[in-house]
Amino acid sequence: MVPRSRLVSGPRSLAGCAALALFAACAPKLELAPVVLADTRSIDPEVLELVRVKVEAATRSRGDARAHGVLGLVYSANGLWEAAEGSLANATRLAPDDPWWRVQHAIALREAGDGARAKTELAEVARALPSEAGVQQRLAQWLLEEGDVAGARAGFERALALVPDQPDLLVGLAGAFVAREDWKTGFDLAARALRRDPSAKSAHYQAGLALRGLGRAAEAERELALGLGAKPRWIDDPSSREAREFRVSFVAQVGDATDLMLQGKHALALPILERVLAKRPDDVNVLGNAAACLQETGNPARGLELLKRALVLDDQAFATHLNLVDAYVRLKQLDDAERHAVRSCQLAPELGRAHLARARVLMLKDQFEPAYLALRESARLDANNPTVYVALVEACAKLMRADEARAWCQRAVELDPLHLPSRVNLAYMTLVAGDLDAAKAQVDELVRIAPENERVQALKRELEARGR
Amino acid sequence: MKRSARRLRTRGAALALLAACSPPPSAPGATPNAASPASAIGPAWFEEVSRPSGVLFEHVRTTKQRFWFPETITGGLGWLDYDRDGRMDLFVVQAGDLAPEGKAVPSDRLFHNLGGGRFEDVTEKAGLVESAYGMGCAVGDYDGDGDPDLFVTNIGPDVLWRNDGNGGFTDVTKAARVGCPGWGTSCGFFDYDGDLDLDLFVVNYVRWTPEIEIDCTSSYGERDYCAPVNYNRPSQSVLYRNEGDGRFTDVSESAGLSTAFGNGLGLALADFDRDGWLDAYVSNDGMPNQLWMNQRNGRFADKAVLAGAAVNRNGAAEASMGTVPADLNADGFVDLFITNLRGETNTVYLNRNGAFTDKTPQTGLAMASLQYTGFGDGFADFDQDGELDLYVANGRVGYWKPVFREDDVYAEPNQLFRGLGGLKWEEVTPQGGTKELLVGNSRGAAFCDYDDDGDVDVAYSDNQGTLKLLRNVAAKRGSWIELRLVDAKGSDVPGAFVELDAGGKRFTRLLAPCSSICSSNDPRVHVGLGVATKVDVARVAWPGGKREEFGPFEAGKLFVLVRGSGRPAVK
Repeated sequence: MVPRSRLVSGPRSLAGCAALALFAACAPKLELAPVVLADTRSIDPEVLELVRVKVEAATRSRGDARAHGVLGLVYSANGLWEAAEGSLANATRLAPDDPWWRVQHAIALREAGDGARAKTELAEVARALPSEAGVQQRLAQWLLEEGDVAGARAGFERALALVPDQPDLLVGLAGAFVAREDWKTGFDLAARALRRDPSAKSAHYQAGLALRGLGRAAEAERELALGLGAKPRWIDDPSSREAREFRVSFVAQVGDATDLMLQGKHALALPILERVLAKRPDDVNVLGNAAACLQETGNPARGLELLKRALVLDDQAFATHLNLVDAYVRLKQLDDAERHAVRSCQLAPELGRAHLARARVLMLKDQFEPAYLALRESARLDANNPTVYVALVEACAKLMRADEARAWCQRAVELDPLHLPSRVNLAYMTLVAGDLDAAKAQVDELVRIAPENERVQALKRELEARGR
Repeated sequence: MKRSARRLRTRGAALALLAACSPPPSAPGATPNAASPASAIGPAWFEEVSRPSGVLFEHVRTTKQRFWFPETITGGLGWLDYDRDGRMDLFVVQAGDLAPEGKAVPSDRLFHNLGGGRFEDVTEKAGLVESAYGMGCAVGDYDGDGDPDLFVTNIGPDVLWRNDGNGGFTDVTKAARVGCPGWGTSCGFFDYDGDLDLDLFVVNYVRWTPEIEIDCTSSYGERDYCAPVNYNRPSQSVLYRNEGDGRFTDVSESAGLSTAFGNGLGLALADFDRDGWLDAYVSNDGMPNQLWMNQRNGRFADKAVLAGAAVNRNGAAEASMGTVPADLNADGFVDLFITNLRGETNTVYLNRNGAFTDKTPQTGLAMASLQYTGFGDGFADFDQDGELDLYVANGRVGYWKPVFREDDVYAEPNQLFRGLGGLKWEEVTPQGGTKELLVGNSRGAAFCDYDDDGDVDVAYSDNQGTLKLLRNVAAKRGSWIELRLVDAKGSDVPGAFVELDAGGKRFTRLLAPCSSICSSNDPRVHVGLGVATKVDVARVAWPGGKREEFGPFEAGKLFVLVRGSGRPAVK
């Protein structure tokens, strides 16, 4: 990395100044050399090209904070935190009054492992940007992480005053109260967050912790389970939005696409993956993901084309075969689907998903007994996957094994308490089995979770008809 | 068969694969000591003495770096007095090469403690030469003959070495039926069923074979090691019941363990709810941890989620590597400390009546660990001021910057934290407690008073590096006592918990040889007593629920407390 800064002297004589009134301009002007990467051998070409352009801009305008700041955003957007920290430090030196470079510099510092300096910097910026909820939230969360509960609470409350009822802020504040073991307030705040965003895992987790503190163990267990995998979500701000535009590295783009796919936003993920494919047409896994997006967005034939390309590139990749199973099922070509399902199982016999895919095809072909056996194998290998048990319920129902179906349904609900179809099926099967007390408890819970659902209402009526 | 690795499966949970291909964002700009407290650099707490002591061990993760996943994890060790001469010997687990291509691979090593701070390599003499790709070890007298036996986890079948009592060991894996073929990591002996013999718990990591290897890259574009999520092949733990005749029975399924999968790395065996029955806590890399509560009928139930010990305070699963069970606030309940990946904090789960709360932010340990990847760890009162200190062995599993050592891009400095009391710690300078900064890719750490001078020393294994033996030279701020908690045959009783009253203060210790990661500690319990000069009473809760009182004891000595020989204790 080149030296971070260089002070360039301004004009030495008064003749260099147009007028005394411009005296300030005669003072030495700060110019800084842009931060460049010492070793670029393994950096993605897309990143290098963007870096080259921004370094050139910063070289042309060494005294321009924005030129250095944008270069810093390019680095941070692509995970090059050391360079990001240096560039953003340059920007803050050149424009100490611009708080947004300091926000990004604080983030880069923290990512670089210097949490203490990061916090100090962000705290100063938060004072300069009292009306930016995102900055207040980030500072509050950092304070909470290092045990400053009072500071965190104040920060979240400031942010909530700016954006009342914002669910992520409510969750943060709930966390502050949970940390103080004020369970009641913590729960109320988490519950408010859940009313605004029922899918907020963090809210579920904080609600669960609070309920546990309140001694409501059964509810706590459910909420904690729903909250597993939570992580803080940040309120957006202008500089973070700008940084996102520079995420061009392979890892960053595929990561973004993955996040979108996990959120079910395949239509948004697809253009990202297509951009990646334009640069890396032979990446089997990107082909597979793009195919999945195409299938989910109603273009299975085009998805199939991509998968066939992937198969030519690597016919040993079980993931490609699994994707082909899905593609052929959607196209109702079940023999082809089965062929690839069998191949998946051969390539990855210890992978529960492979057996699950094969079972699904067999069920579509009305071969329920072999499907059942494949599902049992899948459950053995992948015991925590609720999808397997949902499929087992279906297979057992087809095979007229009601008790076993109910047991698998129970397992599916345990693993995924939010899976409404499984809960409804379980309540229905319990009702049919004549266990009315258990059925009533299950239906009551369903009414709480999904009061408007038609099947839930039907179950409620059926129970009432039976005197419960 | 080698596959392109940037795999992203198309549906469901498997989608999360690539994001983790790269390690978390880099740690640039930092230098050793950058995150250390501002206080002036103090005197050293440890002196590195592996060479003068004769403990010469080079860990070999591979002879040719292939970026195969197991290369990143290996490096365990354990302390045991194999020849019952009263001095603790050191067993070190070796990896070698997963594809040696005909080349000889190095073996695990056993170092006999000669006294006077000197060791002798007795591996061949003890018959412990073997070529498996090793991970970790457990020490325990499974056959009840009074001497400690060794269990070693490997990639491939694990091995049980029976101590023959004559300085030699015999591989009895087949006869004992404990040769689990998976990727074993941490393991430990404990008596879960109260029949007074030691059963065996083995944690497994990823269902790995060379055929499933994939290529991963760091965010810098470097070829790098993958994360377990990339493979998506978590394993099940294995529980072996000791049949009392030299054989074990795999009871994982009937005990309920086979219903859960995880990328298991760490293991803590303790009675977490004080019901008199030993439970098991399994730390999973990137997945919720498991708290297997003993149901007192041969079965275990995973209660981690409700107990608050599955994930951190935010609901996020962490990398969960080195795992230490210890009563950090002397309330009689065993707490947990877990080391994690860079970008995550190490985590303190405080146990209150069986319910855990992540109290990391309040301990002073959060920010100091943020930039490091922790593996081996352990609490001990190194300066004997009456407060537990903490040692953490760090080392990376992926490439990022800054690089601390050009010849090992995964190397990081270790950390030492001084206990301040009140569940607070502060990092000690010089960093890691040694005068010369030691920077390595550290893995297992095991704690022991190997020189019998009444303080706790540290040994740790550096992945693809030299084993370090740190002799405790800290300025002492108080007295000490050491206790052996043994059964009538003189064998240590893991899981025994002792409360000591001394100088008006309560001290508690768990006998937990199985601790840290893939490692086994000195089975003797060490207690720094601060200003106290004697222990008024020691109350021991033995596995099975029996409680006895012993003492009083003078400070500055080792005492042996034999189960059944104490006074009945009031609960």
